[in-house]
Amino acid sequence: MRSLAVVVAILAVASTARAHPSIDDEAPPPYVPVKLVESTEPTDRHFILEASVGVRAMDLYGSFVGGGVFAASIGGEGTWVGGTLDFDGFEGKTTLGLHMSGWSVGGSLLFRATRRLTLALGPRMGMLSLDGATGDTYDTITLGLVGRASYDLAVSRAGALFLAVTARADLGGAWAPSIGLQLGVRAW
Amino acid sequence: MKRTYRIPTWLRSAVGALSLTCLLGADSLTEASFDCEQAVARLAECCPAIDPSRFTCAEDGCSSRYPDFLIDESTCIQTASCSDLVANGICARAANAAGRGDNGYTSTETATVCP
Repeated sequence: MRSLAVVVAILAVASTARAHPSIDDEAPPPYVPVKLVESTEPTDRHFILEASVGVRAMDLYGSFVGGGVFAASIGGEGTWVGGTLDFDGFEGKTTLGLHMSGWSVGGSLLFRATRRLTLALGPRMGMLSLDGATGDTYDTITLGLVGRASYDLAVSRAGALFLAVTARADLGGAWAPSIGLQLGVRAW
Repeated sequence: MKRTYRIPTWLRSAVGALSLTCLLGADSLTEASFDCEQAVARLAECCPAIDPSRFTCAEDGCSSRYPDFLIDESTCIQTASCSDLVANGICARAANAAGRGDNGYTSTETATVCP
């Protein structure tokens, strides 16, 4: 009889425990910190400012001209398309050591092929100068077309570091095709 | 009623720009000028007695001035070795050709300097 009373008491306690869960049972599940990974890809790009330096190789009248190039752009960009106003300067030498310099202004229409790859196409107008061996200086007005592919090597909320390959053709008496490689920074 | 003829603005601008270019004496970088300058640079490198400043490479239609060297001559000079320029008398002939572009020497002439 006594053992029956013990069993009934145990069952009663167990029943009470199910009907009234303890404080431990009501506690929320253990806190698992959620790791917030902030996207480094800007979702809204309205304004861009970029500058780059690099090298350029030109074929002028069948002769090689090589040198350095500086370029700067300002403009706006949406998610996939944009436009910039561009300026670039060039300092180089021919294979026989004549000094050549040039500059141009123009615009570019941007197409974002992927999140990091941007293609650009635009016209150029400028001046190409040669300091001759005779001491004379030659100036030629150029009209041209440039195509560029730039890849963002590193991206942050403020901008990007990019590498660009530029193919270009300038008409100044004859077509002078050139190709360039530039490393630059872009802020947005 | 008297009729007046108005010269289009674009035509006046074009004539003005051309006149200004001639007045300023701006030399344009034609193929003949560029090749000539490259040739003179090569001569200066290889020919001890050559004075580059004596040559004329500018091509200026406003004053009928032409480069001292034809394109073929310039190309020949550029591609010749220094020893060939000296040994074959090209340095000497080139020195004698200095300034001939100012005297009506044009691209209709035949090459006499190089080869």
